[in-house]
Amino acid sequence: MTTRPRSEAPERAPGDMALACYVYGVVRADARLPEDLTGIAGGEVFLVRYGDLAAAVSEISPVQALGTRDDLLAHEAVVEALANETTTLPLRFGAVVTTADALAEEMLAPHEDWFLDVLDDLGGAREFAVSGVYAEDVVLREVLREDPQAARLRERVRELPEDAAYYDRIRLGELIVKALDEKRQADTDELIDTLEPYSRAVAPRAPAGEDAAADAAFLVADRDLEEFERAVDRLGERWGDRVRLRMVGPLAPYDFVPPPPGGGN
Amino acid sequence: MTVSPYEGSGPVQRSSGSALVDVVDTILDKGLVIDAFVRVSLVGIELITIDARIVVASVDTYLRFAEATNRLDLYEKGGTGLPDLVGELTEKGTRGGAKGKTKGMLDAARETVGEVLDERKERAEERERRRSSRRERER
Repeated sequence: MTTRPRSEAPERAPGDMALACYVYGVVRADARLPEDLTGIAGGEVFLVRYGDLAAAVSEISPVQALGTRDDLLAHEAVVEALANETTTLPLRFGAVVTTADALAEEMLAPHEDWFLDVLDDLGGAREFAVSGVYAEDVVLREVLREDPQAARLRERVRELPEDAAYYDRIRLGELIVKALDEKRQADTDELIDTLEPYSRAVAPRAPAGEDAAADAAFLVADRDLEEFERAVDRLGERWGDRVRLRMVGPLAPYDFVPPPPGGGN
Repeated sequence: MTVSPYEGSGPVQRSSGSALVDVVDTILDKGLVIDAFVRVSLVGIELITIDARIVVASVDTYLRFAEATNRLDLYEKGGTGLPDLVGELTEKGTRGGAKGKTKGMLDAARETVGEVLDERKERAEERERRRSSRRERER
């Protein structure tokens, strides 16, 4: 086992402006990088190793703000390429340190055992995010069918001129929002109950948007993937026109990295 | 409103994750936080991620529409062997259905553009309001 950080940074002539080091993810030291992997702003991605660990990094200008569409795409492309090769602990977008060697000394060296344990835990599995969106007309009809008060209000609102029905319309909308909240809860439970048996772990996600029906991330072992996908398809069929299901993945286990060691922030 | 650039025509839409709109919130909000591990060598770099979310969402929507429209051309020219490409569009089984769907897409594209513009307009109006109330106070 090496005890000194060993980086493969391209050599640069003295006098160059000091570049900073953008960090994509942490992998095992024996991970192989896909060839010609370029990162943010076209920087060449390389591994900086410490012991059995390595971090994938590239050099960037320390003064340039980050967050353009290209920056995000580059981050995602590098993490995805890594995750396709090996178990990868992804860093949140925007991780920048002074140098690759400093990264090895300050991040990898003191937490080597912690990282290795986490890599073990997440090995052989990848993340899939499954979310559902309501078909508005179908689900609104459902609410009116199930809630007589909402149905009555709707009749009244239809008969009155717009101004006169102002408060009724507010009340009707309020009832529908409440009914949708309940449906969202029930549908999220159903999504999780259906797919949990085929996953190693589940992380519910905050539903995005008013038409969100359910949203959760699943850590799926590679050997269970086929069964998991079949279960997603069955749920999609069961929900039919009511909820459009969408599965994103395989992803690096963004939702399953544990809190940092030592209970830090 | 759905435009599907994704493969497969089953009940579930699939995306590999390379569609940025699907993962933008994940890469901005999830994953290991560098500050928890690195303090001394941390480089505080400016992140312009609020704009990024809006821009990514709209640009990706535009690209999806462009792509979907493109496929539609192929379909209308009588291309064959494209069942997956047009699976979403031919759900109704007729060309009329496909056309109806296209119109829906264009409307939604307009909505999306409209929303972004409205949002900008609202922000501008809000600024204007604040400015004028400040002026009133100063008087």
